[in-house]
Amino acid sequence: MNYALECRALRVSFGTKTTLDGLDLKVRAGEMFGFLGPNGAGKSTTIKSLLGLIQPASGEVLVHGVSPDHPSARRRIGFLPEEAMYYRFLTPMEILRFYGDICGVERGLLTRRIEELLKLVGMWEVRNRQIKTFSKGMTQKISLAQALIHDPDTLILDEPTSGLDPIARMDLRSLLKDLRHQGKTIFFSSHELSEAELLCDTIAIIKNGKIIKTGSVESVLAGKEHNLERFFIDTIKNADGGAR
Amino acid sequence: MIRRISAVARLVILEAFRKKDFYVALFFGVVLLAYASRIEFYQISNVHRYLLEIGLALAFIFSAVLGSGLAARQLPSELQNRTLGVLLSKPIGRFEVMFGKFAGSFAATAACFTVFFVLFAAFAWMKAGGLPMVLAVQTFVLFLFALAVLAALSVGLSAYLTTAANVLVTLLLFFMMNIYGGTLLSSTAQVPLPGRYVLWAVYSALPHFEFFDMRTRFIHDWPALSAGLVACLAAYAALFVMVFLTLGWFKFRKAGTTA
Ligand SMILES: Nc1ncnc2c1ncn2[C@@H]1O[C@H](COP(=O)(O)OP(=O)(O)OP(=O)(O)O)[C@@H](O)[C@H]1O
Ligand SMILES: [Mg+2]
Repeated sequence: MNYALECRALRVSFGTKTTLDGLDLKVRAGEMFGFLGPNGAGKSTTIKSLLGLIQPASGEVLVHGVSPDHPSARRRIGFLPEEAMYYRFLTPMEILRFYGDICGVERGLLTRRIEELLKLVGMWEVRNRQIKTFSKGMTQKISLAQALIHDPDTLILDEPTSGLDPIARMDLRSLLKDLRHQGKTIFFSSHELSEAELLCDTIAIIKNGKIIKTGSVESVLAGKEHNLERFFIDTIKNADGGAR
Repeated sequence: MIRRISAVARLVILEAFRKKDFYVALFFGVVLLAYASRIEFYQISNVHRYLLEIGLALAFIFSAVLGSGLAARQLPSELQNRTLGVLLSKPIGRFEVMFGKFAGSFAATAACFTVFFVLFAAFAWMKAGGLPMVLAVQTFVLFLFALAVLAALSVGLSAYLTTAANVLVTLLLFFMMNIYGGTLLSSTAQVPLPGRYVLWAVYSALPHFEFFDMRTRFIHDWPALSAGLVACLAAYAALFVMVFLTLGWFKFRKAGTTA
């Protein structure tokens, strides 16, 4: 099987606190994967491990079969962080050029892609304004453009819809669907089962650093489509005798 | 690799010149330099020597302070502003990030020092009516070497220390070595033998900023250095740049980021 992202018995601790507790995760190439869980479950920690930003205490992480510690493995990934933060003194044009240079995008192509992406996320009009004057949602859109600048095979998105208004959310969903049809793997975290259900092939629910449910959307949700939020809350509460 | 490093370096330079504090420092440096050049020492015979001395010392001090401040805050501010996560998620190695930060800090500081030095040289020219050109160029180039070592030291230490502690340690080392570096070796002579070896080891491990300080030679118009010696000093500076960056990388390569 060809996996785009893989965690094997991943364990991550901060000090004495174990945040990820033997996490197993497999994301097939070309699928849209929803990663769900309550606040503090370990979603962002998993994502940072997948990018090699956090060193695991034990276990293994593979990105297209290679450790994310290798820069070459990260060439195939685009990352949208939970709280988008960028160099405040730069403009969108400069930011995208900077990341394009880092990713080694050929210069002529880069100029075209910057225009294309800024138009795609609706930031072309403000392309020469410094980021520090932007709202949260505007920054989030720059974040999305930045994740796509080197045309990666796999997208890792940490709560991509947070901070977006309903129309921008809808645009993002249809963009993600387009990208998936282009054959890209998309892995995103979310709090909302309803959102994942709309988009995903596969979902996993994480709680206290462990996967408590995973599988295709149909198999996980079988017969419960009418009340998704209720089901999500029950799943989380029942996971370990309602410990949370 | 070159493209990634220069992209990071360009970012440092852009930031330095878009933030006002840099211009404030530059402005004060220029004002002080201009002021120093106007002081009249009626009671002293060799007036122009003292002017040269003060002006040059000011240019050195201002550049060192600017350089260590800029280099020391690079990695911590990326971490604090949460920009490091996205940067490191791109296909760039952590040593490349550090090297780019070093190169950018050095280039921005070197640009400021050039402004100081050109002004200083112009004042000195007017006061003294001529300058020993080869010596002036050597003084300038050797201090650039010192600034490179200084920037690398600050970038390297920033993986271990807070920005304030880092600037303090860097500048302390810089000024102590400039003042006492030359006398350190002779003062080890009294120490009994096994201990003396340890002191020699420490002595050679320290970055000898005073090696790059040509002020006395320049002011007294002594003979210039040979090209071979300048090349040796360049190699010495390059060695210390790599050592400091590698030491910093050793810690930074494992550091977690809260992106
Ligand atoms: N740098 C850190 N130092 C200490 N503890 C941390 C650190 N980062 C995360 N944690 C802890 O790890 C746990 C999981 O955090 P994580 O950010 O992965 O959760 P999350 O699932 O992304 O939550 P949210 O939905 O709120 O974004 C939390 O209990 C958090 O306190
Ligand atoms: Mg999170």
